[in-house]
Amino acid sequence: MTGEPILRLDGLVRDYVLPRRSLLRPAPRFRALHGVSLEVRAGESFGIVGESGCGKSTLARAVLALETPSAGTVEFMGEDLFALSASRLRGMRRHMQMVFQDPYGSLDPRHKVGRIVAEPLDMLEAGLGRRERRRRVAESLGRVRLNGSDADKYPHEFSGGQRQRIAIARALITHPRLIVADEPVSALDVSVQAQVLNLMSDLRRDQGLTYLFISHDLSVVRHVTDRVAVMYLGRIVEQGETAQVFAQPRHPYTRALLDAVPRPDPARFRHRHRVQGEAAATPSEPEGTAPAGGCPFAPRCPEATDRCRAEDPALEPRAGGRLAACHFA
Amino acid sequence: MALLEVEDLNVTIPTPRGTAHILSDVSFALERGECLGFAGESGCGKSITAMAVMGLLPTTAQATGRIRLDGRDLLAMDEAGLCAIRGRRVAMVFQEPMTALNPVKTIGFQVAEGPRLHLKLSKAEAGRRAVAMLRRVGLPPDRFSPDLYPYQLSGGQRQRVMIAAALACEPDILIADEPTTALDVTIQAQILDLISDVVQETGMALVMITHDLGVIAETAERMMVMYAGRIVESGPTAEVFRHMAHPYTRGLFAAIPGGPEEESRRLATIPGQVPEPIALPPGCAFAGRCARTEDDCRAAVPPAEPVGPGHRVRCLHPHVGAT
Repeated sequence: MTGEPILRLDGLVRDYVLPRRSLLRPAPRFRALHGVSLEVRAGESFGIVGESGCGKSTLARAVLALETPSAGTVEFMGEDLFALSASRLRGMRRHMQMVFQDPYGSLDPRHKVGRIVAEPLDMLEAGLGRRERRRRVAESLGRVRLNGSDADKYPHEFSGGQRQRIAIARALITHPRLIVADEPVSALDVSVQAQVLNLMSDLRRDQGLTYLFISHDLSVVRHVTDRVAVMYLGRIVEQGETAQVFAQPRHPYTRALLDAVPRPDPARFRHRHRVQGEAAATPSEPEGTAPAGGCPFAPRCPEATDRCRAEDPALEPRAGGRLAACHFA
Repeated sequence: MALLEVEDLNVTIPTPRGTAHILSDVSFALERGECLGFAGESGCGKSITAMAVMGLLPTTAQATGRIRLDGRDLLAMDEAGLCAIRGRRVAMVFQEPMTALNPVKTIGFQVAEGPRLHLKLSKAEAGRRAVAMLRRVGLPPDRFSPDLYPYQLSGGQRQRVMIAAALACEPDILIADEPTTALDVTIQAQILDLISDVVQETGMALVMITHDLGVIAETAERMMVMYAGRIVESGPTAEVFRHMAHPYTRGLFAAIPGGPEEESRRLATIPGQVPEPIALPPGCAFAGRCARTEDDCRAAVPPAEPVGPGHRVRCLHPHVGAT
């Protein structure tokens, strides 16, 4: 089912320049991605989990070449996206599409569904005849189990789950290889969420799609991905087979994350060892001065030692084919 | 007498397309110190129930029935009477800590507002109480000055401020409407623990409204499941989880990823959609989506029948046995 790497990120760094606090000092920078490297194989569903501000959406935008990284490369289907000419890059965009979180905000309320779904064709496959466009729209809507006649309706006539299916139909219309789904079911109720997740699983099986599935929801990621990377403050702290990572997390942050999920089981022991504090992403000092060393999770980690505060652990292979960035994993 | 008694609460809102039935025959009682959970999906009426208790229904809404707080009917009360209760006897924590706080007032001012208004404390006394409350919710004054503004805090810290403000007048009932939905999972866990702890400390009653059955399992002793404006199942949380009797409750539970369907990689789904509140069917509102529907389901709304200790369900063909 899974094969050759289709997407390869190498040492991805993305800095944002923040507003100056003082005229006399250089503008502070915020490092959203701290050298992220990973490989996604064709046909696999790869999950990125983490909390707000961990860099997962920046990662998605970099993968889709919507955001130019400050350093590092993104290789998609063997091509370095940021070394391509604008027209070659546009050619590549046919093969990668995105599904967004908010099915209300991501569909233009003034356009009919047919036009919304056909929109990628205008940019990426211009010159298709009207009949062919209609055929492609109907085909795409059929794949997400909507009717061809729905093309003549407006988004407000659909429920949240149906809208998200329209968004998926729009992503499928160029026959992409890779779909980047950024929190695709977070805005949906649980019964509707299940319908959309099942649909996404079916599409992957039938169309051989590859997913980069980004979510803060651990149970959703556990359900739909083969492999997963856990991010914390712009770094991958743990990566491996989803089932193994969830069954035996090696990084204390992954453990804390899993432990924090409320389970629908009243018999479960209620007060667990909670991770305290919040992820403090302070803008780093201007370039040239090294940021304070140490593990980014150390301030919140129940197991942190002096070594953790002094030395930033590298993401290294651990037992069980796992990568983890912890001195004690 | 229970602290709060809601009896046959019906809320309708007239719309150009017909009357929308928002709440139908909602009845429940809340004892002093009890933690009661309301579960259900968007539009099931769980938030409107809270709004009705707070006297904050939209002006076009028409409510019938009784909402008694210590025997006094809130639905019959005038605005001045409600003002004396809101924030004093019944306080609320909302979902959106970003919008529920006033962005141009300091957090100290906002926490002190209730005590100044309701308890007639002086500015200095109310300020001291605000600091004490902020300290209690994990925002000690040495690191989180009461002179900070909401924009200087993270989402979790703002929700702590909301909780401090809600607790400041020592209310009898705290209503938490999706208090952690906008928060990250590690912060959610901290806030849920905080709410459980303060509820235990002060002995006030908690109404926890959430779409997340996991949150219910962790915070509520008794729970109600709502669907299309009705309470379809109610009972002690452990009992309801053990013997989910209503097909909707079971469907909701089975649709959660990570449940028993894990291995098959397919989630159980509930087919179809919730009926619109202007076009509720005459019988059970869930009949159109339910696998156990028979003809009698469509004829009349099923009564809430007991199926276990303290456990009632509005279903003519409920599941029996363990979940």
